[in-house]
Amino acid sequence: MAVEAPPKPTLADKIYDRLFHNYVWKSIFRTGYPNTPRNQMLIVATNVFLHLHPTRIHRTHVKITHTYCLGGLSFFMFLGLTVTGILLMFYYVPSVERAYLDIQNITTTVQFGQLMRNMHRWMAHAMVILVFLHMMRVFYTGAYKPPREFNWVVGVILLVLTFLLSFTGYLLPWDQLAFWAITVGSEIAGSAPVLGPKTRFWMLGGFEVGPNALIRFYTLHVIGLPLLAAIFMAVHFWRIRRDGGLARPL
Amino acid sequence: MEWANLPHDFAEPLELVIVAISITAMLGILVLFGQWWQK
Repeated sequence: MAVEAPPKPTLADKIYDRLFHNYVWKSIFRTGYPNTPRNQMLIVATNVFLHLHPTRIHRTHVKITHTYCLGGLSFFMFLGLTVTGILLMFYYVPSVERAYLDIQNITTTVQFGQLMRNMHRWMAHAMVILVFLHMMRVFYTGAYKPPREFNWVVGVILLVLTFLLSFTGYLLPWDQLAFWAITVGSEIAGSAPVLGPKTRFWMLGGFEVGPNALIRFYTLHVIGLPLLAAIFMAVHFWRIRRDGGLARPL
Repeated sequence: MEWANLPHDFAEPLELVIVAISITAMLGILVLFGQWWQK
């Protein structure tokens, strides 16, 4: 009996296969298109918006020492920074003439201004430390391994965003420490081969730290970077559920 | 001792203590709210 040979894949089939049946795509999208009862059920049962908390968790996840809640604490710091940051924005104008005086004004005459500024500062320090500890915990418990490799990449992006938020915030008090720290920081960026000088020019909006740099850093600090961070955080949290909850010992 | 004019080596640690209490209190309120919400 003659067996019919399977039809030869066309070019379109090959492109489709390359695009959707590869390691990267499968690490991002777990369930297929909801065209089977199983996939439809999986999508509803694992939907973050319909079930904010997972239906079941493993016994090991109940212990605080499993994660030390470092990711949650980092997020708490982000929320606190948003609230105190908004309050600080009421009194701070990012111009060379006013920036330094506004900071002095916040710390000396504004009601609870000093508390808000100090909370913003210490929560920023705490966030960098907590994000770093969170990364170490994930690394040492092997929680970055498949199927969580995509979330690890999102986490690395969030780490970079945290550093950038910290860096851009450093210039805003417009005192000697801020000025020289950003001068040194931008020089480091400028010393990179080929793209270095261009990057430095783009960062500062000129050849030295001045009004252009201040307004750029301010805009990035209060809207650009927090917005990006919030988007990536949403993806980061959603992925935890998508990848089967917290990692656990094998 | 005037509250608005504390000596520097006293004012700075005090500031840190107040900030630490405020941050922890915020976290506490959030956790309590979460517990109440899940009741």
